[in-house]
Amino acid sequence: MQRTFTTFLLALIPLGFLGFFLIYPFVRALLAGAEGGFLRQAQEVLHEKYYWERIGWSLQQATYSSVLSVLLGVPAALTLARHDFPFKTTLMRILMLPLVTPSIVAAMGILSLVGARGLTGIHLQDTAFLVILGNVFYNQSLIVRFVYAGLLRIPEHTVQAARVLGANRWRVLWRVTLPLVLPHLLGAFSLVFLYCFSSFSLALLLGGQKFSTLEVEIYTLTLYQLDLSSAGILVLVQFLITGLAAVVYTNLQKRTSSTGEFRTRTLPRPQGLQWLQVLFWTGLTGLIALAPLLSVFLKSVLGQEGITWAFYRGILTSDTLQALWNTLKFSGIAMVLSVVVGGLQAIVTFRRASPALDALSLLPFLVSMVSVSVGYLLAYPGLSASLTLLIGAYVLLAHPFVTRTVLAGLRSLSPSMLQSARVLGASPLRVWQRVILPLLKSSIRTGAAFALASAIGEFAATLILQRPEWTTLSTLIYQTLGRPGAQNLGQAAALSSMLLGITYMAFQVLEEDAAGQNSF
Amino acid sequence: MRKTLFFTLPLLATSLFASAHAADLRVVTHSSFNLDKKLLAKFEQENDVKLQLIKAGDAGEMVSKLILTRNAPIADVVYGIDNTLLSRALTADLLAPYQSAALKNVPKKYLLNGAFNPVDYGHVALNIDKAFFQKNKLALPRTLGDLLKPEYKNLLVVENPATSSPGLAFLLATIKELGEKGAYSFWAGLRDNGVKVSKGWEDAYYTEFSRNGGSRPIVVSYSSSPAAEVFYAEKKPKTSPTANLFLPGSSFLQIEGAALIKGGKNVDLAKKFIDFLLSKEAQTDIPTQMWVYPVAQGIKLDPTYRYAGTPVYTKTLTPAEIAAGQQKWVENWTKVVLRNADLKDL
Repeated sequence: MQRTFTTFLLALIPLGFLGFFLIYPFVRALLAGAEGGFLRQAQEVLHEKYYWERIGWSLQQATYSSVLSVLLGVPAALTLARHDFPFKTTLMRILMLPLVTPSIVAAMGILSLVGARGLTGIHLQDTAFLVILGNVFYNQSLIVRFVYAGLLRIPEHTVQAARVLGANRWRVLWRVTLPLVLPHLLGAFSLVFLYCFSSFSLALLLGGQKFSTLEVEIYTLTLYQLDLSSAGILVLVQFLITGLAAVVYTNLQKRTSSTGEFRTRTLPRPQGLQWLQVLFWTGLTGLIALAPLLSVFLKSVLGQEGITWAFYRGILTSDTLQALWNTLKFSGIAMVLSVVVGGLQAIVTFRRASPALDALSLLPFLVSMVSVSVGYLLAYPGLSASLTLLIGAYVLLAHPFVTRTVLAGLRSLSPSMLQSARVLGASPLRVWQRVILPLLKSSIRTGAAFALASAIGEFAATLILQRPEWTTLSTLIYQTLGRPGAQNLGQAAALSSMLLGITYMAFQVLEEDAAGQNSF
Repeated sequence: MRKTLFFTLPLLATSLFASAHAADLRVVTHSSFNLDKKLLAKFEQENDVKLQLIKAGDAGEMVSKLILTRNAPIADVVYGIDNTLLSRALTADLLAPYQSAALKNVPKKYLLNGAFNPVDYGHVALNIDKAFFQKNKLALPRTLGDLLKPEYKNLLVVENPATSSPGLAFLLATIKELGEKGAYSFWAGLRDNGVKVSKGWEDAYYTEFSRNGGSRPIVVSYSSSPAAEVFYAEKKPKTSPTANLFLPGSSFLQIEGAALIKGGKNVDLAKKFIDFLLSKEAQTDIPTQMWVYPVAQGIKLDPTYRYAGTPVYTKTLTPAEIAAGQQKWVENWTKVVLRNADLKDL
């Protein structure tokens, strides 16, 4: 009884947060559209072949992108979890950088490699493949990091027992490792799928209007044609599909829940042919993540006559300093709040073991963000220029990362360990303090790193809420790209390189283990 | 963890209330708004006010947001409404009448309505990458119809008129020149000749335009862009690397202005802000900040403006005509260009 009550109290914060920042605005936006006769509108919209094509394309590109991300990410995670080798932590951090890259910068980088006049000579511009490549650039690291975290949790003795019982390496992989890592993989897969399915700017920047997604149609209908009722129909269609995906995923994940403690262990160096394997998989994922970013960096130092520092000199202003400070401040606050909201949500979901609550944690990826932002305007017009809404919106998008990683961490805690602590006389609070939280530390860190990454890159760039003194690095990049001229392009590239460098350093601070050992 | 909670909850609560500060002037603008920070700071100081600039996206997006929130306005004054959007704002009864005294120094042709204070104007125009045409020894097109010829296949990038104001302006220019029916068949021809559609100006200019690494040497931009190319060149060039391509009927005059928002607070300060935008200092700052022309007469332009030509307009569309046709035109444009619709099905 008391347990239920505590859970209820703990649930108040994440539920209140979701209610204020997501559910109420979303419902307001939908209701605003319903005034115009919903049923007739539904008939009209669903009769249009064009919209079905958009739905089909959204599903297709999300499927291809997430499957490709898995095919690249899982082998890379397996080699990373099996071996220790030089520059491993560097590689792990590099893999996080795409997450902070503003979409127009990513598009520039990818196009300069495989665009019309790309460095590689491969010409993919104006093809659907470019969109998928862009999605993979952004999302493969999610798969690598989630699966890597899962693999490190598999108790070594389980694997050893299987080996002793005569299983060969493939059989161990197939029958022991993969089933145990499946919840982590499914978690990452569903996030990637939902990300790609409702993707907005990247699909638009790399695919042009020809390959626009459902979310793009919702955006155009809402903010340019003010056709909230047609948009509302598409919002519901989108919600139906994403909701179905989330239910399937939570069911699968529950069934495959594993237990196992996280422990840092010393991994062997690769030997002989293993080196080739390591080089191939980590090289491939590293290349996909790094190549577009390197070409953006090249843009920032290459002028008309070779190497120049003119672009970096150009950004040496107080504006840049202010933007840098804002970026660190806002994304830091967003990260802390994400840990609180996302962490509590994970705890509540874990305690109640309810699939509905489980699916709820994915809600920000299930609903249309365009509708939510319109909902903000309708529900809280007085807040339209307030920092609360700005940071709240970012916590909204970042906290599911914390929820997912912490939930996966909680599920793999061994119940016997908690029971023995209780039997030995520890109060519930003490069990949390001394047993659970220390064991969850690495999950929280992973989640926090993702939350920070998503906040640093996106902060304010896509939002309506702005004040000159709130400019962040990513908004400054967009502002610089708002004007023609080589100097502006070079400065935008320089600012982007700076953003990536700062992030790299932020991860270094975040991930440093107390013992000096990098568990993550 | 609990400690963090006790810190963050009050933080959330106080910031909720902090936003309702009394001496704030809320200005909603499109996202390209830019003025010297010192100028804005001076306005704040002289009037003892804190400016809240709400950047609401592209101009079209901004007006939509104002219409959605007209019962509880998100701002007191708006800058960035232009002649393509004015009628929409007036029909939605968004604006309150005010004409700044400074408008006496502004030519009559820019005054569109008693609730609209023109601040600047610009020409949406095609831009070309000069190097591309020289290298490929390709002659420049001379009419809009030339763009449909095989030698110009896959060379043009335009912004989507549904999501971008230069894109909309270019569509309006073609409608004005070719008539509604003629424009649709022109666009169907462009579609078949490989026109690329971008969401907004940034991606058209910085990812598709061949000058910046894309494959398309013709882009819909502004007549002042070649001047900006010189102004923001890495090393001062002798001439601009880009140029205007004033095909007959391809340019569009955009007049941008400011207005009071009906139901806004701080009406007096809002009026002062409009006066400020028309002041000599702001008008002088506008051309190199936003790359449009000041409406006030006698403002000295930056020398790079000699690379910005002025197109000749033979036909015009009034704001009322635009308002009456715009939504249908954009819808049909979408059907023709993006959905491959047959012209008979429009």
